[in-house]
Amino acid sequence: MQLNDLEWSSFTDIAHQKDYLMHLISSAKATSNSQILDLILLNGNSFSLADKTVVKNLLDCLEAFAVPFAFVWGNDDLQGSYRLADLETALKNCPHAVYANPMDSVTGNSNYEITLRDNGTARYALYAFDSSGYDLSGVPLRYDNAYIRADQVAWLERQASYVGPVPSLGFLSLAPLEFSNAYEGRNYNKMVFEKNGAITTPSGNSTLLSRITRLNFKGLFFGQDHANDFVLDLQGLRVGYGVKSGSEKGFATSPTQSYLLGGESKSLQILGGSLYTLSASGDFSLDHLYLQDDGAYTLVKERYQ
Amino acid sequence: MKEKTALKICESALYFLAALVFYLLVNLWASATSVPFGDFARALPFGLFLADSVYFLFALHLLTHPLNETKRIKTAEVNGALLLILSFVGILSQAVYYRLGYQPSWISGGITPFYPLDGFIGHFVLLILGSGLYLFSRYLRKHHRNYEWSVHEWQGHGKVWTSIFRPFFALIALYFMGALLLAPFRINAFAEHAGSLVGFFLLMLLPSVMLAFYEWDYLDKEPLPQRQRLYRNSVILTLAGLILALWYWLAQALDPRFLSESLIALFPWDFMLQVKIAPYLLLLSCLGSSLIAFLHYLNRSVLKKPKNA
Repeated sequence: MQLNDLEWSSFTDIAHQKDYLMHLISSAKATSNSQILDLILLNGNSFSLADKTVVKNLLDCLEAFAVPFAFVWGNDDLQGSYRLADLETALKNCPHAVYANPMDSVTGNSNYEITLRDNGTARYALYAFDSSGYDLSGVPLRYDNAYIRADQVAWLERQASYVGPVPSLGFLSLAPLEFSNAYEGRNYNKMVFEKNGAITTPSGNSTLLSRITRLNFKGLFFGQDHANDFVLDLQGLRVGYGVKSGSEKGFATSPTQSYLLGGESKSLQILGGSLYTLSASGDFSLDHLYLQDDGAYTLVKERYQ
Repeated sequence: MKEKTALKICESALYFLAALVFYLLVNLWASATSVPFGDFARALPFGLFLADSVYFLFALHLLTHPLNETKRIKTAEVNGALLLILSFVGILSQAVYYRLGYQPSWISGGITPFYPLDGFIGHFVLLILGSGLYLFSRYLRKHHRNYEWSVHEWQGHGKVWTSIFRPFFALIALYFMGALLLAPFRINAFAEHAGSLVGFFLLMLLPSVMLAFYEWDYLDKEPLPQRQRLYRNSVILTLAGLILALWYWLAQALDPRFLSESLIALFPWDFMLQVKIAPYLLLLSCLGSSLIAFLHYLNRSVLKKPKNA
């Protein structure tokens, strides 16, 4: 399960957000074929100007689910009143945390790969890429969002050759520029779910998207833009947004979709998480679970098809 | 020890505390921009405590450097009464919030490790300080005390502009001093960017050094004539500003990611808005203020001799 942009801050109503997450995880478990979740992937911006207390609150909450969880850095995670090393130490102290920051010279921190095995045989690989951080901008006095560097792509290729040709999914916080170009140029086969806002990308063009098409990648997913959760089919590769998780720092309501609450029609909140069911054949199904923050925690499920 | 010197020492010591407090206040405001008002409202009493603490520093500065006896009494009376009222409002609102359940506990953490208890206790301290100031004004009304009265060296429009820009500059200096004090707890990758960061830390220190020069080596300083001190201080500080500005620009050219890789946690506004506010606010305020001091030196109307000569 991919969670995006939780954005817990010093002002977060922790009790409410914990309750929401608890319902989301239970709904995801109830929805999945096996009734269990194998992995929760926090795909960036889990914190927003947070401090160590907030970090502890979220990690304690995730630990309580007793499901392994992976952490990917987003820009907002860097802005808290802690050192990067403090958050990494907190993650290391969580028995269920899956996180690696290898001591290498590759740009960023959360570049790592998780191999999913079945009886010792690698069946699937999940890649986390660090797209957090800032670059100098061409515009004076401004910063630009960092893009996936050539050394990160080179690392991916090395890692992919080490793991072997297993089907793979990639996760990063910020959409690469090529995705925006594909959308603008209508270079896609189909578009599923909703686009309700602008696409935020760095100005720098990485080669990530073009490289993963040559590897056995099945999809690449990101977050950052709370209003969007659309996914494009780019020549068989699914590339797009996860669903904004939890109401912190704002979310979108669908202009076209609604659901019933107590007999009354309500606009659908683009809020929840993305559930991936991976099969040994290399295929996977993708469900967007819209868990409404409406007091009743109504679940609306939509499948990518 | 003279009363004025004792007050200046108190003011200088309080400066570091106010710096931390003001830094927290500005960053609290940054956090508040992205949450609904209802969530932010829960932190209002704490925000009021932070603002009142900085306000007390300004009140103490005015009390330390009054122009005459009447102004000293009024400074103590008005600021004391205001502090008293504001801290009382802070205590009351915090207690009401707790009673209504807006605050889940007295130590919930989140903004500081002891939030909101630290703010609540802080309001009591400010209540005592405000009462003390107010009672001091009552005392001064009844008992005449000899004091070294200050002289406002600017005239006309200059007087108005300096009364606006000096507090603004002081707030900039406080913010960067607060950031500097917290840097050891928030900095990343120091070793990789040490050369660039040392220069930048000195630049962050410079506005406070300027205030220290102003407080300890300009205001009320005798017997060196004011023009000479103005010349010496403005030249020293302009040179320091220029050297550190050059250091910063060189660091930017040779180590362009030093700010974004090391100081994101220290300057959330810069990275939230993706604008280099901190470095250019520092450069503008340091170079601008030392240039103004130098131009002021060139002004013929500035005293050439000590005021008591």
